[in-house]
Amino acid sequence: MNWLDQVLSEALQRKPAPPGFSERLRNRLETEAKGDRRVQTVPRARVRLIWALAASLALPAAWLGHRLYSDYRATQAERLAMTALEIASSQLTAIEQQACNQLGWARAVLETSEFCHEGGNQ
Amino acid sequence: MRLSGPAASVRVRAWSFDEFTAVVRRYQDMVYSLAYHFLDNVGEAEELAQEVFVELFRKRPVLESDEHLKHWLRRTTCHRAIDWLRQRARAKSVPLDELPAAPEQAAEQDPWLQARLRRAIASLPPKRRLVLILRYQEGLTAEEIANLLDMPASTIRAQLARTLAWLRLKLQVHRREGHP
Repeated sequence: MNWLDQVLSEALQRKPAPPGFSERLRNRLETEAKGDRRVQTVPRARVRLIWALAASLALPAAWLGHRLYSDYRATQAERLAMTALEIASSQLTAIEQQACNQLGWARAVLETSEFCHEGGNQ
Repeated sequence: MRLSGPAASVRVRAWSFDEFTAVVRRYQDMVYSLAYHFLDNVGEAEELAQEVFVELFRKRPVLESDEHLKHWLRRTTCHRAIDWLRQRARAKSVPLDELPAAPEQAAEQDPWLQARLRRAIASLPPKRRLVLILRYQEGLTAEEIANLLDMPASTIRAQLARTLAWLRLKLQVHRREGHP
């Protein structure tokens, strides 16, 4: 071994790791493992909770919505029917009125003609 | 998980913290030293060594013997060290003067020579620096280094020869200046 080999072997010999190296590493790994568990479990639990809440709200909401919509449709139909009846009733009243008027005029014309006819004969 | 010598052939499925700590204690000096000699910085070396062991813990590579584990650790440390250096270069270049000194020096070693050598090694290109560290820290052959770094053995031999010649030239000046 020449002097350079000797110098390099001395300079590059293994150095001991700093005291507490393995303990610090173990602490780091344990902390990361706890962190990983929390990171893995907490969001999943939250997502499941949100899904459960959404599902538990969705069914009553759908039932209530259907019921309200049915009520609304029934009310609308009833209102429409009433409007139609009112229109028909008013039309009938108008026709009746018109018929009465025509009947009155016809009677008046008839009486007038009878009167004239009787007066002419006398 | 228990790996005990080349004869053992155990597939790693999961680490318990106690088993893993035992493995860390067995190989922490090797991984830390590789990182330290490569990065020339105590804090960064510890951080890099921890990253390597964290990767071992998380990935659970298929390891069949202690030699295989040692090979995996050396290989991963080398690759992560090069990545680390690239990131450091992107973030901020650290002048050599600002680098902390080595934590301990043997009494018989010439501090001037050690300092000069440290600077010379730190100024080498990353791959050549790794080759030198693996050769002199781990005592690996050119073929073993080639296997670790995915390079031809002839390239490793040539790089090592060039690096040694360059270092000899650098340190000859130091010796001529009167230092032993």
